[in-house]
Amino acid sequence: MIEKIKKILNNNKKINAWKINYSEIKSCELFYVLKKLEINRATQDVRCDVTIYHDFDKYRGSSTIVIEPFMDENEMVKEIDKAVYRASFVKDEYYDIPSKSDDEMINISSNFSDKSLNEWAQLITDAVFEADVYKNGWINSTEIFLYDTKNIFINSNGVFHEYKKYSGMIEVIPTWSKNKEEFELYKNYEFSSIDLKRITAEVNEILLQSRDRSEAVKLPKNVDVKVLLSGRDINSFFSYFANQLQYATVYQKMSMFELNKSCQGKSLKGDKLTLTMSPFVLESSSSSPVDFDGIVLKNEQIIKDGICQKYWGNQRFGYYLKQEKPTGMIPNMIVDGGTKSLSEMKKEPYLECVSYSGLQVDPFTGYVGGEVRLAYYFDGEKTYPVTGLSISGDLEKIKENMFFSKEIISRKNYSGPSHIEVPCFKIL
Amino acid sequence: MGYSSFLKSRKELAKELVKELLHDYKYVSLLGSHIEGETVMVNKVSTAIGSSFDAQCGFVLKIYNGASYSEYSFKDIDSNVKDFAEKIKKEITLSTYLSKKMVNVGIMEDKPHIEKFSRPDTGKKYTTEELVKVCTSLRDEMLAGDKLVINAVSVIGQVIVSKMFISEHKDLEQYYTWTNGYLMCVMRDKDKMSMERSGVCYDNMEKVINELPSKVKHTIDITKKMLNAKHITPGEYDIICTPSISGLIAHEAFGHGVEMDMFVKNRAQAKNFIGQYVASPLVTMHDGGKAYNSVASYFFDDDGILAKDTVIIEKGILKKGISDSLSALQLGTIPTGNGRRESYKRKAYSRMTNTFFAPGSDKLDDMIKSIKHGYMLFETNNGMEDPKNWGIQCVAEYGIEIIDGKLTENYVSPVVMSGYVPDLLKSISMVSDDLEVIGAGQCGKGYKEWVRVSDGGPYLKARVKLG
Repeated sequence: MIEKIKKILNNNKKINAWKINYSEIKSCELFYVLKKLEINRATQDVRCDVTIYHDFDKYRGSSTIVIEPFMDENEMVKEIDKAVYRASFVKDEYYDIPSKSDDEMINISSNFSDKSLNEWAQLITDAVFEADVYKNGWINSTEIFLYDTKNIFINSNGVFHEYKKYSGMIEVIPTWSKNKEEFELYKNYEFSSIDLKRITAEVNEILLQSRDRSEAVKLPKNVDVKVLLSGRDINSFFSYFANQLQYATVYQKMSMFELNKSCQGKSLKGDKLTLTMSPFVLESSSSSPVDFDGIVLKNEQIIKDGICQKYWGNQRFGYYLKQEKPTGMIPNMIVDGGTKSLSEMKKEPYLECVSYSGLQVDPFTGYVGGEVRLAYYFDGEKTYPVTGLSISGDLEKIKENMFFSKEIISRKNYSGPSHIEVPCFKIL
Repeated sequence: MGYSSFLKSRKELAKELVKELLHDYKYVSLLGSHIEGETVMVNKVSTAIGSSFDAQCGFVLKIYNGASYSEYSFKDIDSNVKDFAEKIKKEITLSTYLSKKMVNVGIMEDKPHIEKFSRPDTGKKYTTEELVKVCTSLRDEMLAGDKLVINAVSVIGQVIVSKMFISEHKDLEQYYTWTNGYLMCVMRDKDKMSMERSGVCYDNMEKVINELPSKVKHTIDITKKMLNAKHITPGEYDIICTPSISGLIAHEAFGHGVEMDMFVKNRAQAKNFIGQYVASPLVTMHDGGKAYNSVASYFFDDDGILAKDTVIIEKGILKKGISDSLSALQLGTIPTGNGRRESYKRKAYSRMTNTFFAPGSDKLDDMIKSIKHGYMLFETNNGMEDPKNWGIQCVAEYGIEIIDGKLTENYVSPVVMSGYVPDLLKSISMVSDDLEVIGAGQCGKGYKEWVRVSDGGPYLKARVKLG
């Protein structure tokens, strides 16, 4: 299929450059209600995205189409002609596509290949339910998704990459019953390598948090203490900083950050942020050795000690910003630990937020906040779970006053402090 | 354009495959899905013309395995149907250990039904070149609209949906289209930035193209107001929800709460409140692929069940939920045509379609006049539900302060509304005689399984906690 497409692309005189992103995806999926399997699913899919570049006047037009595996050669030609027609209306400033480089692509190591997806699914099932041991708490429902993907990237400049990618996701809904009332939380755990003990520990942790939610009370009125942000949404907080330094944001004059200047305000009192974009983070299901333009990815430190060091992003906007070697779209963030240990953070009264309905970070309004489903409140004497509250703050103030924990966690597309201490949230 | 020629070409093979598998299984259905369409996006520095974001082409089989159901998603039907069926059997067969964990649910009803449905775009047809011209002109108008505009985006996208559903006794085909147009304006004044969006959507591209220019001035004006919008002082206020926010409440408050796969899992309190007052008697709420003509209007769902208009709340009383076939089977209820998949590669869940509050009899002017101090809330940003514990969070893009019964020029942004669902719905004290359903949104189940939905309603007066 790929050879046929290459031949058609190379024979089309109106096509000045092209790239092919091809994937073969297999999955095994299990859906449980309590400990009963409600449905099992398997998928075998193919995806082939073809992007063509058509140069005219001073412009480079492009268009991406999907070539289906069942198309015959005539149908492929027709689709590619359609892409050329579309690209002829795209008056984008010229940019190069990546050329062959000596950068070595490092494959993602994973233990997925040790067993079949079905075998892993069975072991993961057991690992999840190993945590389901409490009298008043249980796992209400579990969804397990395991993917095995073979990827091929080719472009007209001779770039060729072939790599495997494994990823998994477990969604768990824990429930805890107290006084005939039930309380639940949500857990979404993503991974690229399988650690059965970690799965059991993650499920156990969320079960115990659901217990705490069942015991949670309303926060006393007018509480004004520092907030410790933790939990899955901590990623979205740091994504704000990463996005501000993306080539596309900078080129479109939508970034508030400048190189060699502080991104944490003029009167920084908190910890200095050091942020590195990374193709690999242990357990991250987003990890990838190359991006969709075929750029071989590597670690890029973009913020050091609160000072903006480097822009990053895709080939096109990197070219516009005259970057000699655009970094490519790097999927993960690594944030350095801060100056305080968690126990130091917890010496004074605090509100530790662990589960949100969604932590919002709005770069336009500077709003940071959301509804908190479970938090732990330390009033100076005792610590107890609280619920039914919201936090909101101003990004400008938060940036200057936040502290990062020394303790590091790794999840989704993030490795960094497990907690952010923020003294200036309004608690409602 | 018309019903997918690809699906047409695979119809006989699809029937053969179902027949072949029926030798070994008591229920087999096959959903073929081919979604096409083009999206044109123009902003200050880019133009993108490509396939619709929803584009997909493939099949999913649902098979009764003797206890419950197994599914297999794939790209195309192999012409060697016998061998292909053998391969599928291997792929879906579980180990003995996992098979023993299967729940026993019984066989789905498969009433004979052969029908073809069609809702084509009856308006003018546009070439790609014409769409680029429209989008470019709208972008340029926004860029020239104010010196503070740093970027402007205009998008027109059409989805063209073809689906077929084949089982032993069913042979269904549907074909329909939907077009969305969006504008987005970004302004910057030194260190302040703001962004605002507007949209128009119809089953007719010509109507979208004719109406979208009327949104340009409003989009620019609101973006400018947002530059100087203040943060709201947190507290409890009387509010007026515009239809966008009414829809967000309908969606988050009792839309997710009555998705009946949540009833199967005992994850929704609503299950225990059927027949009880959960809202003000002024409140009636609908959902259904047939309830309104919008982005989630279809003829049959991804389980092959005909779309319906389900009255969820009637005059404040919770009447019934919405379900996919597997949930209905387990609950012993009749499926409501709400089984939806993100794509042929994903499982079907009970999902909302077009969800909205029914209009009442109040006049908007009277509603504003009735408020001493409060806010009128505009434009959905996002929302989250909590069907088990009935917590709700809705974020509006902005609010305008009402003082002594009059709208002021005081804008606040963003506005986060949170609280307890029955408290919020029971606080509704006035319902306007308007009805607007907006088909510009996407909805996830948890944090995944994205499908297009519409929501809306009249203007509502309520009392809530804002932050």
